[in-house]
Amino acid sequence: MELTTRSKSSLRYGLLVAVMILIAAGAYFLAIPRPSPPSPTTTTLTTKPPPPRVLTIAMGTQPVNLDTARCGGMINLGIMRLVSETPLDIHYATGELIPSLVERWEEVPDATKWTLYLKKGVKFHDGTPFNATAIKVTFERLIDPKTKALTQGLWQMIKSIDVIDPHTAVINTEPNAAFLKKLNYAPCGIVSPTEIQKYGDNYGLGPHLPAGTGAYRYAEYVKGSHIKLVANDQYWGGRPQIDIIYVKPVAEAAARMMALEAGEVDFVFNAPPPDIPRVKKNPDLYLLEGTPTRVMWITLNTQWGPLRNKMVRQALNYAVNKTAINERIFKGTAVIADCALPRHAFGHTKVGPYPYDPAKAKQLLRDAGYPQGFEVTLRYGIGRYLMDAELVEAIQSYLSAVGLKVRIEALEWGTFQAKTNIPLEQNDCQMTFLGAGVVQLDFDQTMTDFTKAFWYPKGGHPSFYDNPRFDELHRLGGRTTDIDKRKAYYKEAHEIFWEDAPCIFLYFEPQLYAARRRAKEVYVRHDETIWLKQAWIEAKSGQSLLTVFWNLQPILVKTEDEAQ
Amino acid sequence: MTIPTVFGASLIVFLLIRVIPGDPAVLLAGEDAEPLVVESLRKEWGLAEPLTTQYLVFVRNILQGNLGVSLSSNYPVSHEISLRLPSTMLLTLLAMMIATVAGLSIGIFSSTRPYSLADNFTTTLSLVGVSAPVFWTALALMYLFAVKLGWLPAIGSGSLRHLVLPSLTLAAFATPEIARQTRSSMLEVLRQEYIRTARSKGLREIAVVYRHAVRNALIPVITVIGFILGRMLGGSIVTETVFSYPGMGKLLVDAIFMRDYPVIQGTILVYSLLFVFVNVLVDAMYAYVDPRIQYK
Amino acid sequence: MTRRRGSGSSERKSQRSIVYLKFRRNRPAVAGCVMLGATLVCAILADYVAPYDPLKADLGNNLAPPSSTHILGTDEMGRDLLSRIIHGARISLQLGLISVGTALVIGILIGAPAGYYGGLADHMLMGIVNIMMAFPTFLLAIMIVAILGPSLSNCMVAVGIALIPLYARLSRAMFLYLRELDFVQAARMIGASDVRIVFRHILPNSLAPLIVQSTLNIATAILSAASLGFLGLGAEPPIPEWGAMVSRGRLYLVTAPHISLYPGLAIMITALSLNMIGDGLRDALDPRMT
Repeated sequence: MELTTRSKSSLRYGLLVAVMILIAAGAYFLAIPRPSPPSPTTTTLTTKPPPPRVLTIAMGTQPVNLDTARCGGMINLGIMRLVSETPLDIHYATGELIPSLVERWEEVPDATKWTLYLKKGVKFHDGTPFNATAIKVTFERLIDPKTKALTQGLWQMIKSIDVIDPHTAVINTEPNAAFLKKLNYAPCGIVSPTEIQKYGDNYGLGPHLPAGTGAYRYAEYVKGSHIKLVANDQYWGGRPQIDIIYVKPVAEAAARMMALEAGEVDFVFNAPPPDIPRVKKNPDLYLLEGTPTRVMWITLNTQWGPLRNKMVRQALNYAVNKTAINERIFKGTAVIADCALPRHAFGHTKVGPYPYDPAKAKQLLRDAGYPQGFEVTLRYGIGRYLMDAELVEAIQSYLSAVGLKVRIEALEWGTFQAKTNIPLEQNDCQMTFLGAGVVQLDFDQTMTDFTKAFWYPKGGHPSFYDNPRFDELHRLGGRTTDIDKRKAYYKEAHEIFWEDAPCIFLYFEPQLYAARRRAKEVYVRHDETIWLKQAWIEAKSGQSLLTVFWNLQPILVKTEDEAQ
Repeated sequence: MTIPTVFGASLIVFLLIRVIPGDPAVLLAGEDAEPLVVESLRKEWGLAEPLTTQYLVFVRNILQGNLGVSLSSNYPVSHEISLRLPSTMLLTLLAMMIATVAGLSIGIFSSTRPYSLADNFTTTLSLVGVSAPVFWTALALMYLFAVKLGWLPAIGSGSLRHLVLPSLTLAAFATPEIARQTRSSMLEVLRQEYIRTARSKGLREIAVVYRHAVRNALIPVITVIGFILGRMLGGSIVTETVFSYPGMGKLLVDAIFMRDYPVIQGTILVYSLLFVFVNVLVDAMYAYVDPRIQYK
Repeated sequence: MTRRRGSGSSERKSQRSIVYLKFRRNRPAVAGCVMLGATLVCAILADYVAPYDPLKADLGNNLAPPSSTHILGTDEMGRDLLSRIIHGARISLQLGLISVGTALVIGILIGAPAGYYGGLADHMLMGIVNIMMAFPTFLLAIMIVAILGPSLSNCMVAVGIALIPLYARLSRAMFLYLRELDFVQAARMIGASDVRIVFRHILPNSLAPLIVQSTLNIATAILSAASLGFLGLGAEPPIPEWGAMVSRGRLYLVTAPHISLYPGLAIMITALSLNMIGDGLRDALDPRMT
């Protein structure tokens, strides 16, 4: 190390430069305009307000935006629907439709006209009154191709919406027996017409925080850090018992569980199966198990390369050992799929599963003309599904055993969706690990995704499945309300679907959630959304001085505004 | 020297985005952005102009505080960074303080008992500390203190407790280096003539060590601290990821996975500016401490 | 820097044996050699040394703790951890050697002319290097991977590029210094060509610090590459890269900590051995220490 001599003047120079840079940096950052300056807190000086009751939730993904129409992922939507309510709800225990913003409804026998009687006296968080116009605006927005709603195809059967009077709306649809169940689906969260007019295309894309009618409203949305929801004092259902909800994205399940065990987080989505025994043993925690409803599969792009061949697709189905996957990766908590629907859904028919038979798989590949296998890319979005990384590697190893060369592509969830939800011409998906929730518990919904009419950009699936008979059965089944006829159609459709194998059918994802005991009456519904309307927090008795010190918030690290 | 380096760094960051295959306007606007948005971005950043003009526009925008808009959150990049920069700096400074204090103490102590058992022990431990990957130390600390003992929180931020494990992790690889350098430069200094003179004057050992030796031994140590701060900035990226600590490192890693190029660009720029600033500070301190400064 | 009078071979030979003996006495350095040797054996003879196929999954036996059949246990896919670590040695050493090798060559190509010729060439060449040094090494590596996309080869490139400034600075300093020495001046005066001077006089005398630096840099390179792998920016599964293995084991930190523990330990031992050897070499080549 060479030591140099410096004169006093160069010492001064060095210090001067350093100080100047410091001042410049400070001025720079202070001068940056912040989009949402913290509003002044009004505190009464007479009484000390009680500490806010806070619920902290950790989940694997985060909403890419705050527009229920354009944001995907049931877990994300589950949080967003706390703010942006849907016309109807389903009961967390029975799964039956219950009123929400719609008090009561009337249907007609041919399933084409739905009269909705709305609740009176409800207001959006921005003050706009909730009425039939809001319903009309919301649904018209969903159908409008310009909006590019992710579920656009699902709402195509809506022909028109009529505003009869401020509290009565009529939705006219093509015949669709399962329509009402769609009104529980988060993408149709009712939006404030004032905001749509103000923000147009930019609605929900930031930096403004959308208004809804829900029990909570958005207070903050910091990508990668947290979403802060604050209780809506004027909620029509009565002020909720939890004041603040923090939602934190933590992509790794292990980190989520650690945070839960350490008490930093009260509720965790997608608790990993390896940790279940620990949760059960821990007196501070409890496990919530929902009925496995979401079917998981590797969708195969039926318009790409070797996957065009039905024999190849079937071969892949024989190549995977689903029992081992269930036992070793999910510790037996998953349910192996014997068809595309769970047992309790309408339209369930036992058509599978494909037995584990690697020899047959190799034979089929040979017959199809691929004795050496072929190269293929398997893509998935990180953090959304339980044990995704392990599952995908297991699939890779099973397929390698029959000769394929599989390359795994792991993308962040938002990027993954951007690459998956695009039309065939631009879509480069080959194999995609996806799940299909059956919110409506009806085969109609699953089929919709696979029919050709609903290829992207209308909604749909990266399988680009094209089978005219399948499409026809979908039309027939949706048109009639005769239960036996529908069952027959769906049985046939299932048989075709299974044989065509546009996916490698796997299992129904276990719904595993873990929570701290202090979070009471938190439920998870059949559609995998969290139900917090009755939730409350068991407060701690007191805080010792040590805990107070320990919980000191250094000013610099504060990223949240005061509770308002 | 610093000014050209700063400009050079901004030049590299500038070229970064233009090197990626694809239209930079689309990269900065997002793949499914409206054509209007893409066009307005093109104008804002002068992307249709020749490269030199582009660079000038780039610099002008930066000086105005405009680092672009995050693709994933739609907030300005400068806002995202300003939310997280304090956290990272707090973490790094805290870790540096711990490392300096611990490193200096260990180094001085070892140098007073060279080649003893304690010395050899600390030397070996130092080597281990330097060789352990940052993420592994982080996981080990997390496992020990958060999972097994439950004394400290595993992830997140929001209180002093959350800073302990991440800063210990960062200090873990910095302390040995500082200790080593301190020890070797102390040994060097202790051999010198003027130390023997001081000793022969009858001064107590402690006075000798602290008043004379340490001051002079500090000089190369400061240089090492400069290097280490740089490595710490790099190590903080991994540490923040492991502990889900919402600093700039986590912002950068998330942005890379999300292909959020404006954020990637902005964070790298800020990191390099930080680094340059730190080096300037170290140089200044260095000049201050060096007793060979001539007074003109 | 060792000063040598001329390049008499007998002088050099006794110098070399002095260095060798000093090195041998340095116990940590020798231990380092042994450890590195073991790692090299794993890397080169991986296919023979490893008891199982590192890529063969056996879901039925996943997350198994260390036992007599699987000495270090199995990972989450049922693959033998020991075999994966052994094969991972090959990947890590490849990463280290190739990235440092390229950085060495390119760094010398930049730094040497800068130091030797000085003046404008010096300013221009070192200008680039100084700009690169405006970024911490790891950040530079991340930047490059961010552009190129995550993959094993891009990791090598990224770490290599990140190390170039170090070598450029070092070689420049050495060339600058050695250029002024008597024997070089003498060679110049008798009209030896620059190339001859560089290759016969300067390079051989600059080997020492370069070797020391390189040994230490390989350790840094392996650590950086492992960090990139840990972040998910390196090799894709199922390649047994050590950093990625540690990252995957995080989910099982509580139930099966061996999955993260042992690959991390392997990284540490490799880096440690290289650091010990590097330190030993530095001490051995230092003329001031007895």
